[in-house]
Amino acid sequence: MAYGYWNRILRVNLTERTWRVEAPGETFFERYVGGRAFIGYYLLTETRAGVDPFGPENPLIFAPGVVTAAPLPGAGRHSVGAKSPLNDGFGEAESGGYWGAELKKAGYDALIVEGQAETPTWLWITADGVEFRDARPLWGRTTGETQEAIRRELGDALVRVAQIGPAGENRVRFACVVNDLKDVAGRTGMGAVMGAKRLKAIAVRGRAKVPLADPAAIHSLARWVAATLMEKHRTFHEFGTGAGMTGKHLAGAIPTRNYQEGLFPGVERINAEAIARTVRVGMESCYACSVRCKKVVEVTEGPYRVDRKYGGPEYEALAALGPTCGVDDLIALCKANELCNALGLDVISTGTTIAWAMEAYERGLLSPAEADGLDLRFGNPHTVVTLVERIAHRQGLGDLLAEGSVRAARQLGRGTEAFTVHVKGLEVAMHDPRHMPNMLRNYPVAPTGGDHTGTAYEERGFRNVIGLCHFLNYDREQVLALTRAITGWTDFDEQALQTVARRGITLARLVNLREGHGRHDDVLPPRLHEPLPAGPLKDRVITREEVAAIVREYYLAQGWDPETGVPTVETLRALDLPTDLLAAVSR
Amino acid sequence: MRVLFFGEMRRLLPPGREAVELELPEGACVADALARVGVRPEEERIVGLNGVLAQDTTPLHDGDELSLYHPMGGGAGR
Repeated sequence: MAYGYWNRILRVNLTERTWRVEAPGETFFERYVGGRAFIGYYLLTETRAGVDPFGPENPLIFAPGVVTAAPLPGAGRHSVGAKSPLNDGFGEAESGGYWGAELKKAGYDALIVEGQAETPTWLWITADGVEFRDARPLWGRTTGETQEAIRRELGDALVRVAQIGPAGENRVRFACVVNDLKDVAGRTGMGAVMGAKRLKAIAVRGRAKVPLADPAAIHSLARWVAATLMEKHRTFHEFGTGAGMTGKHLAGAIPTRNYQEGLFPGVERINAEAIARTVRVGMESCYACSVRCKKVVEVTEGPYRVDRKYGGPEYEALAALGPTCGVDDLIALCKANELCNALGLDVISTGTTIAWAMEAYERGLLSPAEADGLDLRFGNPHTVVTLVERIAHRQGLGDLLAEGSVRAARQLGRGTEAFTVHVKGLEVAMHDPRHMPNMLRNYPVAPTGGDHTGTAYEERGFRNVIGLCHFLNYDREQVLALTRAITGWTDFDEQALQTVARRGITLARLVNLREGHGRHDDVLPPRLHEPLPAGPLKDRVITREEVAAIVREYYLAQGWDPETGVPTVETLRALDLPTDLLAAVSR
Repeated sequence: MRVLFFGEMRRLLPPGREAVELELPEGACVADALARVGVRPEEERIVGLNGVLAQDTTPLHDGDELSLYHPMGGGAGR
């Protein structure tokens, strides 16, 4: 068996309240490696087409990679996946933090949660197995209250807790899975899938060290990260994400007022530098990481108190709840971010869906009565904070917005679909493709839709599968070296890296095709084809032909049919994937 | 003139410093300042001059403040 694995997949069935450990064997791990590829494999082989995302037959898969839990900066990543209730296709969210590493240290390479509990349940996972515990007293509680109660019940303050807030319980379609209150698997509604299973939380404690083929090489790389910190990771170490946001404003590309504009001078008041000067009380790390890029904020007085236990806003939160909603009130943004973590909401979809409602309101397409009397004009920080809570609890207008911008627009009608900013139903992240060529190449083909992490391409796609943070400045040789040092795959080379990455990408593609996403979904929304009204990008128009050319080139690079985007039989063979996976697609 | 560094551009900032002061000859432009602080010609960047987007050819004057940014940011990485 390769190093870096236990050969143990933990499978829990909530309907039957049973669990078992499977040993799929070395070939399985060498082929699928982890992360997205595990998720794609299990969705394709164990679920049928058209499965209800909220049904018991939709498994929720927690998938670390082979790097996860190695004593190495960047080794704190894992993915959470299922069929998504937001994009109706491949659902996946990555998270940093400690939870994924803790699962590995408990002796499991992945966790598959099946079925649906009869009553709210939480799981207690250790090397000895799984206990099913009663979550009825926790149902409706915030993540902070729930984590405290679980740690108290277990008498262990170091237990790692992955959980949902009220948003997941209420099946808000962009509810997230929250780890340790602040490390979030945010995108595609994995929290809603967990809520539909009546699974409130998964507490895990592990004490084993994953065996490494060459521990000295890993320690050497870890020392290199520490020794070159100010050269290679200075900004992340000093500020985390959100530093240099002002550059996006200068370039005319900070997503503003539902992507209608690209200039937002108020960005100076809400960027990471402003946070460091005002409300920041510390920086924290993920598992084994010396970069320590996670900012912690606290506000102890005024209308919005912000609890430091929920961490602090990252760039995506600052931009989505801020300029996208026209808001430059830093304290309100910190509060909205805290509420998203406490209630279990993805900050990007939350901000972008609120921004869609604000535009509808300003255009007279959503009446004051439908807005529950809220001042829904862009720029009102109180409205954003209020709507975060109402979405999580599905109150009033929040019930409509909890469906995500695409379904909400479909329900409201009145032409509001024209300004939903999404790809495949997933709200677009905070990087304007009119400015960023890499995002122009990324958004149309990202397996989950409007995701910004770039994992549709080899480098990021590989990091996703092995469970390595995208922020760590390892060069390609170092990525290959650490993979070899962990696994003992001594001949793992550039070609192998590309094959592993492409296998994950193709598996995700097959899930999407099976669920009905095809060439017609690999597009940008109309809003991103519009020119910006002012600023340096005023004349920049992305044409549909430009996007079509990018998509075609991408299909060819992946070995998919250039017209339909269906992987060819030859490609599946080259990737050592079962060709019968194509049968489900053609049906 | 003064040069400020933001985001990933802070890697060019000497340890312990928050800005770099430059003296440039008469007629110097933004590209000259970038070269002096170590920005590679092919490197993607956003340059602000006194708070307004500048080009490589934009002329510089005494007392100017140059702000250097990397176009990426946030979860999109570097």
